[in-house]
Amino acid sequence: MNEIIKTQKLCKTFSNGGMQQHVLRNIDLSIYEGDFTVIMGASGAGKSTLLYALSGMDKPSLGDIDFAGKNITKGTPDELAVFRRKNCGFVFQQTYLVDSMSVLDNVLAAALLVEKNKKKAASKAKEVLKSVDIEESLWNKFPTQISGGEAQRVGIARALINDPKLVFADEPTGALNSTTGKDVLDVLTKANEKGQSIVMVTHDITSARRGNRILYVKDGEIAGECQLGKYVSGDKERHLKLRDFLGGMGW
Amino acid sequence: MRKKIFLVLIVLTFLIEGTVSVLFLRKSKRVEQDVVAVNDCVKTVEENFGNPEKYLKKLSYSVVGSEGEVLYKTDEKVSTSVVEAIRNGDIIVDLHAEGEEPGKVLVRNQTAEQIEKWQWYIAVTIFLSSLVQAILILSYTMYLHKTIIRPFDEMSGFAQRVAGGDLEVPLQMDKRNVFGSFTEAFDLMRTELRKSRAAEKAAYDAKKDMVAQLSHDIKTPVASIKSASEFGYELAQDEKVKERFNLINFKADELTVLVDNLFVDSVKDASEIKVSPRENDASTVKEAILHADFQNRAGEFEIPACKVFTDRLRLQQAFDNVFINSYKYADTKITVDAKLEDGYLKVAIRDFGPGVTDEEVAVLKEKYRRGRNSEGKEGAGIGLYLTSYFMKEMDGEILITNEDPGLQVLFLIRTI
Amino acid sequence: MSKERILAKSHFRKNKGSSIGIFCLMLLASMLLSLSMILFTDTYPTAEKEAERLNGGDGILFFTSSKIQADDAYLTKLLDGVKEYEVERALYYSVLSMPFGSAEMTNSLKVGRVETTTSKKLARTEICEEDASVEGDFIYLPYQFKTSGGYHVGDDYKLSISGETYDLRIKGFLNTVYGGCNNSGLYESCVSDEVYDRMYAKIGDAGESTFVVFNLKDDVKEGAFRIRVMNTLMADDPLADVSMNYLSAFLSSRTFMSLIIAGSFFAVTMLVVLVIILMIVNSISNYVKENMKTIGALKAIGYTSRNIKGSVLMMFLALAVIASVLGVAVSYLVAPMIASVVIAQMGVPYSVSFSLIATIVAISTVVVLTILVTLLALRKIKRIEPIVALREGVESHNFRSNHVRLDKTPLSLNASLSFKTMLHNKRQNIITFVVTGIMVFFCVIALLMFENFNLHPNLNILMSESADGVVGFDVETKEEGEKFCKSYPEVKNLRRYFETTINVGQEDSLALMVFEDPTRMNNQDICYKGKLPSHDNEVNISGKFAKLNGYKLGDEIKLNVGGKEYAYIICGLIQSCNNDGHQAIMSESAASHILDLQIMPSAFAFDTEEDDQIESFLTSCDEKFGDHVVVRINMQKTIEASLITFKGIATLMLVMVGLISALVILLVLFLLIRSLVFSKRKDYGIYKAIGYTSKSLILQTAGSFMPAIILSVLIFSVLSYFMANPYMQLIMINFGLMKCTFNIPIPGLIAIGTAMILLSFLFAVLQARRIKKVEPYQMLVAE
Repeated sequence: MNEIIKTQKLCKTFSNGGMQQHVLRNIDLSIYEGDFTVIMGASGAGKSTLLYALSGMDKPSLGDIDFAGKNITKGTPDELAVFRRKNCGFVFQQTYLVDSMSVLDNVLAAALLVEKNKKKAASKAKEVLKSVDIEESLWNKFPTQISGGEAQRVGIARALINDPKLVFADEPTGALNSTTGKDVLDVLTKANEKGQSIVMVTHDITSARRGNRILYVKDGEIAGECQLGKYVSGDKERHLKLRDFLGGMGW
Repeated sequence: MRKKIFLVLIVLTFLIEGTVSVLFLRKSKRVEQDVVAVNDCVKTVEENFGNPEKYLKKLSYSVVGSEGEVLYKTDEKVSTSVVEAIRNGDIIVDLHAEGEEPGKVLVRNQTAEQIEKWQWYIAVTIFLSSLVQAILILSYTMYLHKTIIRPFDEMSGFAQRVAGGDLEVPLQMDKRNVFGSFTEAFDLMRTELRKSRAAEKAAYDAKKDMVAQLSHDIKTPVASIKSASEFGYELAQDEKVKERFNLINFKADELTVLVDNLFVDSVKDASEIKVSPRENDASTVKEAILHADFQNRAGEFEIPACKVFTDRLRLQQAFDNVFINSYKYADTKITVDAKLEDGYLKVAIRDFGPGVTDEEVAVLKEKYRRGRNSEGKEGAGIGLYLTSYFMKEMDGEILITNEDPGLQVLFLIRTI
Repeated sequence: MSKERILAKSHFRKNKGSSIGIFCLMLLASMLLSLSMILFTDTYPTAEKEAERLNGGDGILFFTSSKIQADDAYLTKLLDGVKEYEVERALYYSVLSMPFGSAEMTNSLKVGRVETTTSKKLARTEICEEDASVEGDFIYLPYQFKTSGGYHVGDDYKLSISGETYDLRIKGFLNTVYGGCNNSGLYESCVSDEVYDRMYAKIGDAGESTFVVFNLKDDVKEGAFRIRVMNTLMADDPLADVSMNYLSAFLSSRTFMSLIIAGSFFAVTMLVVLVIILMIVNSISNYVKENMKTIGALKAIGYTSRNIKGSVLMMFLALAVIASVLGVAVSYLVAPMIASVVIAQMGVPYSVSFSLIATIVAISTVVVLTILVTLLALRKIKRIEPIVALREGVESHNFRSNHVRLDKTPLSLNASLSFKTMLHNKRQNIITFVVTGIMVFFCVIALLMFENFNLHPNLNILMSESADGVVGFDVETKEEGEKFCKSYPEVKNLRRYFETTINVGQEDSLALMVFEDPTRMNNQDICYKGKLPSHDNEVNISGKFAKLNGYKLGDEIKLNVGGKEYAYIICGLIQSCNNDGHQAIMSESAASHILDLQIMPSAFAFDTEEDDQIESFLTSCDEKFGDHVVVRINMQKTIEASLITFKGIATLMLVMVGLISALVILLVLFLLIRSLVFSKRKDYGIYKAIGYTSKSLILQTAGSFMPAIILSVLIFSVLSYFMANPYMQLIMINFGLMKCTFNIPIPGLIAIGTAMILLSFLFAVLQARRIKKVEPYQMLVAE
């Protein structure tokens, strides 16, 4: 399996009023192509920090990250932004769609970063929107006019539009109820089945089940790792294995 | 950014000084007389000749008559004769009135005064701008001190502590992040060290526990062996056999002593931390407190002058522990009071947090004891135990009392 | 580019309110800029352009003499050095009071026949409006009588000359080079032959005057030529009434007022532009603040700072382009109104024509400034780290502290919450402070214009000496006249003076005012540097002349007239818009060195307690001395007359400035407060959710920035009081006016400040009332 990301002694420190808090400590981690990697851990353990550090959005305090052959701890913010266009897709908990843009424009705003041809970009955006089950009737609505689940799927469409090497999802179901959350997870799973590599942070075991590699973060370190097979709906054994692993981690 | 402002301002003051100097030099080369003013005075004198009350006083001059007599003078500094006027380089103007020439006006040459005035002006300007410069440079130095030297001091204090084995006190992030990730890495190192030390200690303790258990376990069979051998000795008839039993008994005793020693050794512990007190100045106490109070919660306080019997590193650690506890559990301001009493320097350190219950006060100094409110906070419950131990080794003591609100730790430091 | 366009559209949608506000401000700015540019480039040069079109020549010479036979031979000899000249004979009244609107204008008047007047080749006089049906005793008057006197073709016009009254009808108006404006000292008119003959019969032995318009050869120096001609004429007939002036002098006095108006307008425009710049900065920084998360998300998905900046810039650029084009268009609608008042004073027919420069300058200024300011304000975007933006501004290392602790503060809850809001909006408060300050300054300038141009016109800037009236006697009766004046109880502050011309070497000449004692002049401001002359060897000359010829204070200047020369010390510089800046002032004792005071007439400037005493005094002079009174000016009436135009201008200016200030103030307050309320929306939602009433929130919002406004109003009122004059001066100095002291009424200042504070508060409350309508939940979810 090919590594997409490889970190070396990744550290991230926050401070408040001068008091330091070491959220990530010397993490050596690889993310592999085709994996649906799930990062779990108690709240405040550093899951999200790890996710954003891996994507190069948050500059780590120490250590190196090699992302698709590029050291992303170096480089100007703008260089990193350009790097992210083709390599990273982001799905946030609060979707962060631009309120004053229609659904289609939101996706297009990302598509146009890579595809200069407006027509091609538009047709691709429509295709991706269809693939995440957003009906055509919603395309010209504004994010505030559609439901949370729909908005999140639009967010996923935006993340997928440029065929990124890796999609980063930060608690994508965190703000949704279980039904809509399931739709969102289905969309992600489907994308993964098509070969899309995904890293997802969650503290929800139902969401975590979708992954084939579970990492457990504790006190800023990877406390443990569990390999599951590809997700099959209703696989009892898989579920038990995950539960045992989490139980062992003190979940 | 701020550096730029300072530099620009300093350069600016230099420019002002330079400009003023150049201007002065140019001006003092050629001093122009105020034609209009001279004319005004002369004409006024002509128009009001013989009527000195109406003469203008805006310049200083004298009026001399045709016979050389002084008719009028504005002040005492003016020339009173033409000769004197020429000597002084004064302006001499003939008066014309009704076709006659009744005298002359001698307007005092004020070039020297003018130059003097400018000299004053330049002196004042240069003085003021130097003052500004001095202030700027001073504040820049202070700024540098604050942004670079102080963080550096803090950093070296931190390093000393870590070197001395004190891993409890965290390294503060300085506001301008002068050292960048160095600060982060250093503190991370401290926590990693502490973690590994804790792990090491846990392993060591476990081993000791095992030894204690083992020695306890061994003692019982040895006791059986001993009693059995004593019994055998009593029963044995043969001297040789008796002797053998005696030997067994003796060796069992020896074994008991050895196992006891082993047991005592494993139960007794840590206190092998060495404390070597000697005579120190009381100012070291203040220094230690200031170092320990890295968040500067205590504000101003005084330590009476005296000589104390301390180990500076251990005293530092003792204060560190108390302050770090206060930050952790109380997070309020802290007062420090010190007085000399009964051969001790008594330093009371008090916070205004929730404190602990009275029952807890009694046991705080014990090993591995922590208050109720310590849940979820890092620590092993060893701090105050160690503090107490250190103070005892220095012939001193700590006393912990509940206040309302807050907690007070009273350090009794032996004076010499 | 398309990605930026999508974003730009979305920015606009999101910030519709403030975008429209900014748009209006930009529109106003470009309109004002374009207007003042039109005034400068199109309206103001009209007089000059017209003079050129009418073939105005280099100058005019006119003299009245009973001794000189001004035939061709004489003139050719006299005017040696001219390229060409044209002679016209007409009647000339050197000092005549004529009705002008509701007042009376004292000026010189030239009366000619229609035929001769309109058939000239040099300095043509055109009829610019006429009614051929008017028959009988008619008169053509200068165009200024229409534009500022308010006369129309067909109106009656009653002219009384030396006791004779002519009942005339206005047949038309004249567009004339030399006689079209009160400020240039000569009116040109023409009457029907029959009236002309009647007037001619009355004029006495002097007969018709000779008017010569000439064009100098290139190598002839104006000053020297003038001195030579004048001296020749004076030598030939010492009693001749001779005047000679160059076109440049006529033009500068004719257009001086327009320049002041255009200047004032410019002064106001600059302030509006300044405000707009600040508002753009403010709204951009608000935009960045309000859209922190969106920017963060955009950066996360791969937008660079450049892309985002580009999109914001694109929006503001679009606004700027549309607004400035519209603004310029509007300016052409408004221009005729403003131009008409400027023109009224010049008395030149004019219609606004498209000025390319004005359009380009207005549009490019607004657009370029917008680009610069936007780019400057957008630098911040570069510093936004996407992750920090998404975490709502929590940085990896943060040192925030709580300034006002609710548990510790002695302030009331409302006050302390206001205080908190205030501290959190430091930037906004600074902007509010500065903008309010400029608005105050802006209002003070408007107030200054209202006070000095309208309520209590300040004419010192226009005249050499201000007085309630002037009466002048001929040489025979001047002593008697003086006695009479002194004995007249209601007349005060009598200042004896006369006017003449003196030469500087053989090259140049100056109009000289000789006062008995110049230091007693009412218009002390005339001397802007040094002091007024008091001794017999002191003189003041106009700054413009001094600058041109390299004279400094304290220098000696040799003045001569009729062969006598004396060296004077320049003790002061004066400002003057008359005589093209060729003026001098000295005392009688000084003048006596070169002039024979005995043969000089005397005029007396005087003041009275009551306005109606002026006329009664002048009448009693008339009665007592009859024809010996050579000058009688009721300054009050003259001022009124010349101010008829001026007041019109000022009133219109005021309406404009008032409207603009009101608009700008409303827009600015709207934008400021809107953004404040907007940025605090979420907090308000929380406050509301936990039980704060809308009322306390409204008061708290209003209260949070009132300190900035009140402080600003206080500081800037005081500052404006002292800075308004220097500011006007800074603008005016570029127009040749060295010193102007405008009066600023303190009550007005206080009113402005109070109104400003009350208005802001009201606005704040109105804006904040929007909070009332919003559900707490909505505000909470709003990003």
